[in-house]
Amino acid sequence: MTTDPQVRDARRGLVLFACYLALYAGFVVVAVAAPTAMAWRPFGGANLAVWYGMALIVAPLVLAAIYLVWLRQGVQQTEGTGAP
Amino acid sequence: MTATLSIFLFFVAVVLGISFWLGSRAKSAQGYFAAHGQIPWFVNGIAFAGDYLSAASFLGICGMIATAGYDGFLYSIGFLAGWVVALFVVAEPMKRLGRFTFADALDSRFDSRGIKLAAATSALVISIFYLIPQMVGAGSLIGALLGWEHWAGVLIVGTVVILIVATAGMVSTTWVQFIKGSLLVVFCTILTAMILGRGLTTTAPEGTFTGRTLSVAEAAQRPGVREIAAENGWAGTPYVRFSEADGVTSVWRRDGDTLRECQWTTTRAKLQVAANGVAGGALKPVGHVAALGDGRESTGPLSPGGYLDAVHDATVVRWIKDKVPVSDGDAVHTVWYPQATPGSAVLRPGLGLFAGIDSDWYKKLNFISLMLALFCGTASLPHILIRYYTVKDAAGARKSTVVGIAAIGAFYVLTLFIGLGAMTSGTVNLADSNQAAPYLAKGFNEILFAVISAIAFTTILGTVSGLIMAASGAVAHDLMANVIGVKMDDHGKVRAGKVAAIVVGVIAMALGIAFKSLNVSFLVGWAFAIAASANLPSLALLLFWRGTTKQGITWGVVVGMVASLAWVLLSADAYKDVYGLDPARALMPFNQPGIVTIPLGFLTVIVVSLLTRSRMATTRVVP
Repeated sequence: MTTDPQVRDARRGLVLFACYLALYAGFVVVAVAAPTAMAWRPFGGANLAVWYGMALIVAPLVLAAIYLVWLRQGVQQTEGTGAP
Repeated sequence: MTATLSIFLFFVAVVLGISFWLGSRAKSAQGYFAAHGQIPWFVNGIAFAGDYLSAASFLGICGMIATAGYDGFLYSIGFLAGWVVALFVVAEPMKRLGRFTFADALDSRFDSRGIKLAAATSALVISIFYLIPQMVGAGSLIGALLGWEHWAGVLIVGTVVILIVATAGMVSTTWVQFIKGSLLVVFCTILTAMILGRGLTTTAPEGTFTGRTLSVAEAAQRPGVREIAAENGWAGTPYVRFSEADGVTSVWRRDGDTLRECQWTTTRAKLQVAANGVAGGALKPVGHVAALGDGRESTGPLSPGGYLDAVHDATVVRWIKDKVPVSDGDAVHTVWYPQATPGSAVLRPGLGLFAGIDSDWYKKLNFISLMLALFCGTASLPHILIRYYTVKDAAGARKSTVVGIAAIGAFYVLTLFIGLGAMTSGTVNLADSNQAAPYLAKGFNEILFAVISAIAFTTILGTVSGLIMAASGAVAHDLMANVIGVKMDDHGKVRAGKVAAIVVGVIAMALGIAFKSLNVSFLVGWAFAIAASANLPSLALLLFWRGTTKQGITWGVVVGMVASLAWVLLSADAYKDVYGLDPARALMPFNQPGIVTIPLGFLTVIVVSLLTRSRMATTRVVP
């Protein structure tokens, strides 16, 4: 594991980026390969297309919040160890 | 009209006043191009929203959802998804590597004139492609608001933006974007609350054109009405024409023994000369609910989930566009016929832009290509990238991106409700879908219409200012100072930036007038594809692959830009809407280039880098 905070933060960012990419790619695949599945109403009134679309809009904010928490923890650890 | 005009002029006066007031603070190049790097991160975050939420987002997406349902919402999803690339991949490196422009960052390791030239050209091309839809939206908006001609709206926006940019550059641009971003989210929330408060009803609002439905016999036996013989291009079409009792010609679509009344226009030399058989007339607003799922006539106020639920179970009347080929000179008849559509189809892909996605492979590829371009394009747009230079440090860049995502995400959620609200409220203008959101506001009251229109106007001002700033920096800082080597002091660079802003603004105005009939979101989709193909491959590989060479980056930008531009200009949509040619003759199999040209950009950077790196290594080994 690297101790360079900049590299560590960049890697964490890429992990979160990969999570979102998988979610986004899943949406595109379902829309193309099984478009009728988008009409499925899993729960509540809205169908899968609406739920999935809304999730794709809300997810970046959730991931950004996780990222900021990680970065803050990283800063505290760096300050705790006295690392530059 | 007086109140509308007063509110509108008040907004414009405030925006211009702020610009002139801030003008005194931006005398240096650092101040003009990057607002001294001292914008607070929260303000910068909202300014990101103000920069990004353009006419395409507000006018274009709402209009597309109002006419094509979920297909329009796909743009909202893709536009926001691109911010994930910006946050996790691009934000901090851009702040670390650059100074004023995208070319600064791309060239940070090399000091290459080739990279500067390619990156500056790419920034110019993308900015101009992105400027066209903003100007088109401006013309639509002024037309809706004041009843003026399209070209007048374009000239007003162009002039005001040139004033903003030429007075104080990035400082005033940032604050205009901050004000606009805040107002847009707040008032769209209010508009959505009003839509939910009203709910859905099967009674079409007053003034909505619903069209009559008659049997063939009933239609022909009306007193004073006679059927017009099918001739010229009308023969062989599903349309029947009647000369009504008042002498006006009506068009009906035949479906078995039933006739449904349509709306229609006649255009000559691309200018509409008649609507619904009346010379100089206008189409009537459309869009209503034919039936609610449970047989009720009205739902009353609804929660957001309840509203989507009610739309899903309802039957909505949409209007489908059809061209009638005629042989009387250069006249073209366009007919819109009503089609009852289940709400379940409205709320899933495949109704409009992506019709046929479930069966046609080219449509599938087109869809994947657009979603890829939207995902990769945001973090490649020059006017977004330069906003990373207006904050103090990398942490500020990151935090402002998060604020931007929150504001932009909130807005895109609202677009679905605003679009569906317009679709079901008799506020869709068939000739110009971009006017759906302002007309929806007008359906509530004139004051809200004036406020929403003024916000939409500032929306365009904010985005156009950012785009012209990006283009101005590319010309003055990259091309003139760094590529051509023109010796300029700090003031000279600012002066050159202002002149460049005026020239780019004038070009944008001319193009905005020329492309007035295209949907603005659709045009922005092209700009995203070009940005994603030209800029992202080079930027990503520069950040994550040590083997990247300056030749690789230069060729990656050039090949990505030229390939995507060529694809767009040779696509069926360009044939149909730009050249007026038969789209079947288009050379490209589908419209969106991203799925081909983005990988091509990556491949070019990698291959050229490998070739030039080995040559450099060989050169070093053999003295």
